[in-house]
Amino acid sequence: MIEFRFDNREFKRMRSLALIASVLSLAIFWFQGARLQDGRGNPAAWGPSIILLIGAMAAMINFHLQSRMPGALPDNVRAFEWIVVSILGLWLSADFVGNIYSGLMRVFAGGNFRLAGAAIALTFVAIGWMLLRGFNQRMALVCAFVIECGRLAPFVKVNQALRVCAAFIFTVLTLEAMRKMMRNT
Amino acid sequence: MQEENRQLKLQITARQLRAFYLIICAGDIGLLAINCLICARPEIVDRNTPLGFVLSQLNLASENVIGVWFSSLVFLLVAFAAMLCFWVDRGAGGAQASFIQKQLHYGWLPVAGICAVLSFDEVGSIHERLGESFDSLNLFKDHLAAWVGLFAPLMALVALYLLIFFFWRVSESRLSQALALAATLLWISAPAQEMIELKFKLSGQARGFEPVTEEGAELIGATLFLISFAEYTIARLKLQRQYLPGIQIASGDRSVVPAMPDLGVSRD
Repeated sequence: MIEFRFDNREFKRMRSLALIASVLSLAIFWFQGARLQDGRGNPAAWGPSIILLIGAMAAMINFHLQSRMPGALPDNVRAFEWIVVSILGLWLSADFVGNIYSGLMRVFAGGNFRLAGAAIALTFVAIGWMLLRGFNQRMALVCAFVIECGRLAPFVKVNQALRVCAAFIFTVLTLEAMRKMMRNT
Repeated sequence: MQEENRQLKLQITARQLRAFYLIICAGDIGLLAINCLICARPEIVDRNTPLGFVLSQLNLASENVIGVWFSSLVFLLVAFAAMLCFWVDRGAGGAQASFIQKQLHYGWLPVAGICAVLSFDEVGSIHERLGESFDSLNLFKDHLAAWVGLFAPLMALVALYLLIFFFWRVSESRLSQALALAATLLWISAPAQEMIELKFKLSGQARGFEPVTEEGAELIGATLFLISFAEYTIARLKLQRQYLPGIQIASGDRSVVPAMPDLGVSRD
């Protein structure tokens, strides 16, 4: 058995790590500019992808913690909300590298892929907002929307900045929820 | 002050860890099977059809796809596992250990660094970009791809380091050592396969299943490293508990990872 112990310092370290990765990604995005379309991999996507992965992992830990809290149903329902956030984080992490969402929209909606993508994402957020009760979970959902639909922002550098910042906030929200649970246990 | 002292404890059992290996191995096998299919019938990868798009996302030979993300994720997990080995190795050797023996755990840091860089490189195609930018430095232009020629000395050095380090440091756990050495050999085979790819390109022949074997060597190598390092961590922790009951790894807190007796001596 391996036991990990997280204290306040660890949370601060993880947050700092996410911040450094975000700033580095923004710097790479800024300098590489138009070369994003050269058919090679995108180095700037690695940072946000990792940040979101940390967020997804933190959400999974939150599920684990919340489901073990005393208080039966309300807490268990909230625990499953973290599973949703975790799956969302994993999807966003993969999507940052693969651009799967926009690719799928292109396949299914053809020339209207931007409109269709925004409409589906908005519907998803509306349903999610009604189903999720926790503040952090709802805000994570909003961040997911910004990450997916930030692509529609007018300038490449602006939309990448928006998406990276949303990825950072997504992870901070999940980490803060974890810290809050640590305080309450 | 009280909040500062609070700790969140997360436990991973050996059974959970093995279930995790199975998930990663299933991901590897599934990905490689689909890539075999793509190599056999490349015409099915049509990004304009739903199935073609999904298959293109799993194609390890192309960039910016989910397959590359998975590969990068496994490399990053290996880096994390190497850091775990570093943590559990601190203080190994006990009071009687020589100065060099006490410093050996630092050898895990380059391993973790190499794997983190490879994870970044997998997503960013850094080695290919550098190979193209510094093509003039490639001394073996007609025989090696740009990046292989440029990085050949560095790769040889890293391979040598890994072989020596795993042969020497991981010798306490035979399973971990065998897996780590096999993984290193698989990684060494990747640049060699790149040379074969260049031969195919120069002769105008199709690559056949070469992309699967090349990417497969990297992916399976990384998975073997992951299992090896995780098993090494468990083996070390078991031995620690054998001598110092109740002591487990604790992230970021040196005080709970004690000095322990030399494992080689304690086994006898």
